[in-house]
Amino acid sequence: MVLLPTWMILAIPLLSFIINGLFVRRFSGHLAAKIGTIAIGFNFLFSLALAYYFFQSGELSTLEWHTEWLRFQSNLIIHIGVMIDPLSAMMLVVVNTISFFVHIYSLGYMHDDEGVGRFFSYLSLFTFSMLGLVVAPNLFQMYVFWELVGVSSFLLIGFYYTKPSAVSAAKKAFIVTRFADLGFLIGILLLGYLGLSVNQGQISSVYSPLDFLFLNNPDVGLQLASSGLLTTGLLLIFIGAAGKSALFPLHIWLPDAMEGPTPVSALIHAATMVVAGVYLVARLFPLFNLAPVALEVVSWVGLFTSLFAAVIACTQDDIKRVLAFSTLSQIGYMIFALGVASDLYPLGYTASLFHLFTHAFFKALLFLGAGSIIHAVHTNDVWQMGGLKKYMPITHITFLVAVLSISGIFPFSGFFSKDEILTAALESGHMTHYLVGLFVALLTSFYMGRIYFLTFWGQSRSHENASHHPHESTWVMTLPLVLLAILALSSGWLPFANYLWFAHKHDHHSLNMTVAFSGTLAAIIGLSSAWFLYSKNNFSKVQKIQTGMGQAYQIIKAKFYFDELYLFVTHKIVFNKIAGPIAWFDKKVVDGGVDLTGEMSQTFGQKLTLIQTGQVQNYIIWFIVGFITVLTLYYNTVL
Amino acid sequence: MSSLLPEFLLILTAFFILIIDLFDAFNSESSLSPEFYALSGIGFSIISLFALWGYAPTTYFGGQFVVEEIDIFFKGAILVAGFFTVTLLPAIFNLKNLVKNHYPEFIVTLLFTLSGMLFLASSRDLVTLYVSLEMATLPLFALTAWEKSKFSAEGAIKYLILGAVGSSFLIFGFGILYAFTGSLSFESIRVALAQPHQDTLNLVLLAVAFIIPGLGFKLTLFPFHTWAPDAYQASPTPVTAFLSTASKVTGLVLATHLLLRIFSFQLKDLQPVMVVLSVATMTLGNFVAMKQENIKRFMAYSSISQAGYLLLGFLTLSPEGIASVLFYSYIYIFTNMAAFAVITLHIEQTQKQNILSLKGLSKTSPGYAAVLMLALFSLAGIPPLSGFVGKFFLFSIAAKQGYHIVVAIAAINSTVSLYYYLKIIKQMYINSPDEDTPSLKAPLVTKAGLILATMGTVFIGLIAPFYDQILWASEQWFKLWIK
Repeated sequence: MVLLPTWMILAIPLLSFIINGLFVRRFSGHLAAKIGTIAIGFNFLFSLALAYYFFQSGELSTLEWHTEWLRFQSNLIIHIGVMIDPLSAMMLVVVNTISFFVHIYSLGYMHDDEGVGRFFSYLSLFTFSMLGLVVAPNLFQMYVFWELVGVSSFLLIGFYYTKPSAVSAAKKAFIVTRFADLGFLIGILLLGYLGLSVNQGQISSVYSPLDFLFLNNPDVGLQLASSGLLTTGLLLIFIGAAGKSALFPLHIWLPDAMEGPTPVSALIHAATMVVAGVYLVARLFPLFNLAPVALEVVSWVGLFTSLFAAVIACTQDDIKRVLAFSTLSQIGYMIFALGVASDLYPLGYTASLFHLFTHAFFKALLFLGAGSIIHAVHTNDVWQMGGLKKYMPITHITFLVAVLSISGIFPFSGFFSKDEILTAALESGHMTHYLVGLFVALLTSFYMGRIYFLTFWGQSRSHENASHHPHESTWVMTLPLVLLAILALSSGWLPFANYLWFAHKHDHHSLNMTVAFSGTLAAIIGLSSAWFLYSKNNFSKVQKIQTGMGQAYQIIKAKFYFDELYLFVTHKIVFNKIAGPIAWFDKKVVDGGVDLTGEMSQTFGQKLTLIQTGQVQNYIIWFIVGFITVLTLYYNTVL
Repeated sequence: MSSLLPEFLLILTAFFILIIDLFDAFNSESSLSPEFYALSGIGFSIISLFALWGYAPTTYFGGQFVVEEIDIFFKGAILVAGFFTVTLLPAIFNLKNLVKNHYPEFIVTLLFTLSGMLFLASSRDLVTLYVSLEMATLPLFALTAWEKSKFSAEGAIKYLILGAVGSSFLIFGFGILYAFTGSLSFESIRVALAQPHQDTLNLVLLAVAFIIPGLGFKLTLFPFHTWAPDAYQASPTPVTAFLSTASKVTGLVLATHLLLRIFSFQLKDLQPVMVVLSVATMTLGNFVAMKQENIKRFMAYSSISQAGYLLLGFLTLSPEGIASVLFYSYIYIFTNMAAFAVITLHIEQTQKQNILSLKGLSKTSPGYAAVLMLALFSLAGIPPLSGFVGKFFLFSIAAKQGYHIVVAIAAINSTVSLYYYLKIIKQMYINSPDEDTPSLKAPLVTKAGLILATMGTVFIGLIAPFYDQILWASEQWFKLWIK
């Protein structure tokens, strides 16, 4: 492992960001795009080599490189560095792969955009921040990069800053996640505080309380758990994770975040940044394992999010929003898988990360495919698409692969990971989780089938001129689609459990036939009902169901009015009752106080100028006054 | 005798210029202008000074003239200030008619006061101290009055009278010390003061009380500062620059002699006096500066407040204390000289001394405005400029002595100072200039000096080896002398 200077994995995108952001983009956006893509391409190869060497070496974790950053006390030192363990090695591969493909895709997608240089600078910034988060050897560095990915997400959601909806979406994403990060920060402080009082001789002397290698040590964990505050600390940290991963009830920002350019949605809001919460929980899993209450909360929040989002996804018309809710639902899946894991039944841990891994590929593929479609038909509304099978064959095939994969059809990758999650729930005795998970799988295949059939089958319902036929995207855009489709097909066959496990290495688990069968059945029911309802240009049955559901349908379609609820709380309660009085206090008391200080200083200065009379006699009097003062003062000190 | 070379070179240059002037040779076409000789003289003096590095300490005249490492740094600071002052001169003297405005004589006077300051730094007994102090101060009165207007004469006379008062306080204190100890040498007085008898204690007290105002006069400490605003305003601008830098460093040399070399055993008891003086000085300087409208008066109060900060370095007898004073002196010289270079050009070319007249300088002369802005920010102590680093070291001396409230007051004062420095920056950068305001022009020498000073303003505080050298010198001095 010494062969590779691992810090380069952070340095390359940072350098690319600086060079592009400060210099290149000013005169040539397209050059910036190429530089950014080549840099990430290099990073991509680098991370593959790194993961290869790492898994070859069979080490469990290595602190590759670190340097002291802040020294608060002799036993509280913050390092920045690069830590490689199976978890971060896997994430490095995912982030770099998706980022690289998205870069290539964006070369085509953003080609005619004025802000192409800015776009690629931000992408580099994001990649740098995300990688810094992934390789962080301690919570503090993780928090710093956690905020940095928040910033780059903000910049990219608001990329079309002339559009008011994009601006408000960016603000919403930033504020909601930032609000959740407050919990994260308090959790970090609490864990650090607890960690300082832990005394484990050897470990305490080598590591700082915020280092993962310290926190995840079993002895340290037990001592932390005995303090009684561990659960609180972990729940606070989970709030941060829930914010970033858009778990209920902090999910409201993610659907709006689709205002950003589609490649951004694929990279940040589907494959990488939003799974940071999953990553965080997995990273601290040895601690969560010792706090069953926290783990219970994690599993229920995950389960509810996955069901809640899947129900909403069935009713949305904007293709990207369907995908966004689908992302919410899948992240909920990963989270509840973590929640059902423990040292007795560790399969959920592996399953969750396996699903993170496969989901990254097929969800990025779905978004990029959607981008390709939007590029061709100039609308997001699935009701204005239809019949694209003929015009966009590559997009169609690759999209179909992704749909089958997310629905969990054998032999596509989603089948394996979803199957593993359901098995984990069943084997650990979480029957409710298993059944709800199965139902969510059915819903997933239904809504994915719905957008697939509405988009590609039937006749064109475009409002545009009939003579204008949509056409397939250029090769820079279809190449990533094909590559991702290959990955979506094949990544499920990876013996994932051999690389990433918790507590003890289990053999590559054999298929649980009950689960495999019921899961496939759910997927087939979902897909076939979608085919039945949406594959032809006759939607009378759909209409009938919608009217049949009446009010309930409207509520679901309005996303259970959560946005309105938040608006009510913020505008009517927070702004009026809390922010208003504080603003008054700030204006009248704080500002007034500042103004008063200023005026008093001015008056004081004015008074002091009177000393300078211009009369030498007065000056000499001052001299003598000074002399007497010195004499008295000194006299009093000595005696 | 090589230890005396820096002083000799200055005097030699002075006489050389006088002789050339005697033969009226400066008016001939082929002659170099006087500042060239002065700059080379000062330059060689600096070189010969730092050539002494490694030979220090050396002693002459039976201990009356000593060169130690920290003396080299003090003298270096004075010479650097003198050097920059000379670079300002071509900006105000009409080179076409040198004799009429007494340019050569001006430079000669300046060189004399510089050599007096150098002698002061090396003096180790009361008589040498007093004589070299007068040698440094008397030419300054003449320089202040150089414009020969009613106004400048008024300022110079005030300066002279108060200077006389200050000197008499000083000599009175010296007299008592001599009467008490029977010795003139610093070291023997210091030792004698270590354990004064109960019945002579009052005498020592009185000596200290007389000497502090004399020192306060030189350092412009409140309430002995009153001459400064009037003299600063009355002087030609380069002289103002010189007063606020070289003369201030001379005050610091005097403070080193008096507080550390003579009253080292009294220092602990003097702390309250110094804290009161320091706080009063920085507060007065800052608050009054806020209300000033004349640039030179404004700089006077700004430099008074800086003296308040500098006094904090003398609170305790430690290598760090004297090192931080020396370090800040250099920073202060570079920063102030950068500011004064722009101010000199502005006053000379617009004939306006009002702060309001700086408005829109960033539009008419962006480069000069940027230099002045950097210098003012450094004076206010904004990181990463040198002024911040220097202030940080000074404040930390007071903090280590447990005077946290003083540090807090000093920090508040820094904030107040930021207000009035920003007022000038606002004039330059936000307000627009009057129509047909010409942009500033500088002679080559002045421009070179200005660039050098600006670089110092930005970088000196960041050069760690420089501070390390100063600290090392202070430690050497400390080891040798405080046993």
